[in-house]
Amino acid sequence: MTEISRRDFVALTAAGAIATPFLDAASLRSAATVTAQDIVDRVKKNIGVDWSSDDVDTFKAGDPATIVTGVVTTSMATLDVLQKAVQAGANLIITAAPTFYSRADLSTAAGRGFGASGAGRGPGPNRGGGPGAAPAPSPATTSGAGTGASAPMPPAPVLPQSVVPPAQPPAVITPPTPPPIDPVYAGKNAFIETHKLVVFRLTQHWNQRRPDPRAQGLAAAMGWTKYKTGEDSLRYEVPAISLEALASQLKKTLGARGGIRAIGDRTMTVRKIGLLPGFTMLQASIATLPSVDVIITGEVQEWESATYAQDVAFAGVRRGFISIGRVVNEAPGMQVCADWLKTIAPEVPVRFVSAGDPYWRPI
Amino acid sequence: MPTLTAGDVVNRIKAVMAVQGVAWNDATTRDRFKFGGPDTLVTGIATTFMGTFEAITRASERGLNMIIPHEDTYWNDADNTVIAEADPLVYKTKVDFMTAHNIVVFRIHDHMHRQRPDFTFSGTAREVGLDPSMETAPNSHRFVIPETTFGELAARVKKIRGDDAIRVVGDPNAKVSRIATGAGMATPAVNVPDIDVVIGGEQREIEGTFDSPEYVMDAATVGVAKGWIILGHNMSEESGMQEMADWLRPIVPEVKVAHVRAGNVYWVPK
Repeated sequence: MTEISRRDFVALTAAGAIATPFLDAASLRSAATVTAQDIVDRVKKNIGVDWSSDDVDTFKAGDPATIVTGVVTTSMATLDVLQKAVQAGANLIITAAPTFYSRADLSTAAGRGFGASGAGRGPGPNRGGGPGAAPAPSPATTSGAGTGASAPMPPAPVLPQSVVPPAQPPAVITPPTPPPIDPVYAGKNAFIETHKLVVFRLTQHWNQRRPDPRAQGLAAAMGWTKYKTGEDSLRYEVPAISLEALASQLKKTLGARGGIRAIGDRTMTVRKIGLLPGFTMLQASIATLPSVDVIITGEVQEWESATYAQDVAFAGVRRGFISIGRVVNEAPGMQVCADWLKTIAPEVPVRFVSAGDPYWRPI
Repeated sequence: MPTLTAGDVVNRIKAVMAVQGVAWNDATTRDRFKFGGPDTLVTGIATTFMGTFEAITRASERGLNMIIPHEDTYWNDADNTVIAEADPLVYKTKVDFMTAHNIVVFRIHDHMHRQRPDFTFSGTAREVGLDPSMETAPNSHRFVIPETTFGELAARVKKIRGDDAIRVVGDPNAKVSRIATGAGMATPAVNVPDIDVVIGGEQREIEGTFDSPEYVMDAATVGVAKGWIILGHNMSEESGMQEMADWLRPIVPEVKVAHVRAGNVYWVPK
């Protein structure tokens, strides 16, 4: 873990932003106090898209009235990221991905494993791994209508049901004794409590901004901004590069490890790039691949877009497909978010901390 | 001259499954003809994970014109061809190939998962080197192996399986011995107290009913021994199509039955 001193943190975050002179915690509070709720209110007011629902983008932990000492944005609020935030003197964490291991984001282990047989493992026609067992993708994070592609938006899941296996009758879930304490939930909750952290999820509305912050951030990181061909930041025409070199460059630049995977002839030449940030459905891939050399996306169902790209490549059609991983895909967007937050919360230092790539690959 | 039709093959599959306790569900949308039909004469049968263009081509090259894939043929679970027809790159080429080579495709998914053993599980256990004698109970899909480190186990699985695109989450130094295996999207929960490692096929990285990658990352930070090995949907279910070919062979003695791999999906960059 990289040790980040408070001095470094302030130096990093103050650079280029509204200059906030370093103050100790007490004088900072007396100079200008801002609560987590204040910052969230400013986010809602300034984000530039309608705050349409409070299903996903809500407080996940902590007291909104907490006075903020610093803000960390992140792709995913892992315990490791929370520790880095504390080291940096921040107590408000704004995350793209869930904090408590499911879309429902509940701070106790209600979703899976403990108690009943666990979501996705119940009896029913989908038992045993059919694609039909897949949970509905989040509408906020799907490449589809409104992102320059043509996939229909799936219906928004109803929150309480998302922790219940869809094919399982509720009557079956009858744990006679309370489930044992899950040490991972307990450890994370204890750390949040000890350090009085506040966690807010910001993804559904953030990713509705145009240009798409994930595409904007990825292009900036890769040095592609000047090669933009579309108006929506999803298309780029870059100097010729092989598919294999492009994949390697993405891996290095984005800090991916085992999560990045590719389909297509490694030696094919890429010029036209189509970005489909987030989770991509088949329809969006079919609408995009014919007019680009390669699709770069976050995550797909393997039996959909991945198999489509596999068939295209097998037929000898020179097209590539790169899946960089969902968490890695969210990181550039949350970097953009940190830069934006500095402009609406000038009282406090703001910085981005990456959760990295969850995956590694055995040798 | 072969006189066996695809309809004959399907009727025998249904009959034998019924005898073995799996009554045919006519309401299935998955286990149906996806190309060709019951009247097509069968020259040989290929079982495969998915009706990829590669699997169909390789089967045809070997004189096998009946394809029995576990998963879909047109890149979506419902095999909705309206979605696939929108593609100008490969859809027509694939369909034209199937027409020209008198291919018939019949999917076997739901009923295969109802068989005991479920070959997708037993096939994966075989291919990742989990000895059946280490399974805690028949069809429990749980194995207890001599204690090792998670990194060593992951390396062993990758070496035996032989594919690059295996993805792993967790502390390589964690001491592990209790393994749960999954197939396809049915990836078992990793936050069960008496399981150290889950070896599964495919699961959403975030936004699911349970997001194992983040849980396992936090488990490593807290110091709880957990590991997650994600083979890929293809890699987790292809193995069992070998068992399915072995199951089919005695009931269709007139023709050759072979397992033809659907082909690797992903490669990984350096």
